[in-house]
Amino acid sequence: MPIEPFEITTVYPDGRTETRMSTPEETAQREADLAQFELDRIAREEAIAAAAAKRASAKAKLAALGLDDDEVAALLP
Amino acid sequence: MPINGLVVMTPTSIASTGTGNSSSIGANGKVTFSSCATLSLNGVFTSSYDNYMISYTATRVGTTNDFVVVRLRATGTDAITNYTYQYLYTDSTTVAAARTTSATYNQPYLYTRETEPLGGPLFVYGPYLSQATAFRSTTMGWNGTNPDTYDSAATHSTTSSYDGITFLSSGATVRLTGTLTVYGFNQ
Repeated sequence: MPIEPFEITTVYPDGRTETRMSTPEETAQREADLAQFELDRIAREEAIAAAAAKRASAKAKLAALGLDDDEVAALLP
Repeated sequence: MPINGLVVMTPTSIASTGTGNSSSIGANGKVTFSSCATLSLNGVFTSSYDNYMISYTATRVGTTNDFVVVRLRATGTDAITNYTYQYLYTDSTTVAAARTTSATYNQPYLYTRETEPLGGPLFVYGPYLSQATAFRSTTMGWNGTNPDTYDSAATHSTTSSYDGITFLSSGATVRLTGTLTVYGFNQ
């Protein structure tokens, strides 16, 4: 989604401040960043969910082989 | 006689964005920021020191899971290419890891849940030198109930000199609130 130009505030150690609007390049970069961030967030959450699912699957298969809960926990805490 | 150890690097200026944001530089060099979408530190890496540690703590305000990313910066302009980062995430017994190459930023900090804490050091090796820069971070995050961990290693392969760094929140509505201090390693 296109975003509007935004304010950039610069602060100096002596407390002085300056405010300007973002340039077209800066606005476009923020827009591109937000799109990439969303892709990264989805990929991260999918990777974590996949790892948890594999772990649960492995535990179930170990139990099916006859290992009791303590033995499964010893292998996959 | 100089004392070996950590030396506070007071930014020559900071720049921030985000609706209703504010930021300031304390007399002791500590940067305080509130409701920032981005926060840029200028003039914190110099020829005086090769390596740096950034002590960072923040909460964020938002409704989705997001994270904090960084970019090196030279004379007020962010570097937006040539990052590679590797992470290892643990949440109780759940472990996940991945590597991203040709990225437009480094991702040193785990996303956190709404208004909950995030903290940890970010080490930056050689940013001001005309060589590739290395990053290393270990972060405490929050899974909604308990702490979790996020370890990250990263490189920026452009062999240019950088004097600053930008922190970006990863969500359109997510804002960063917290404090940070940059230290140089004096030898």
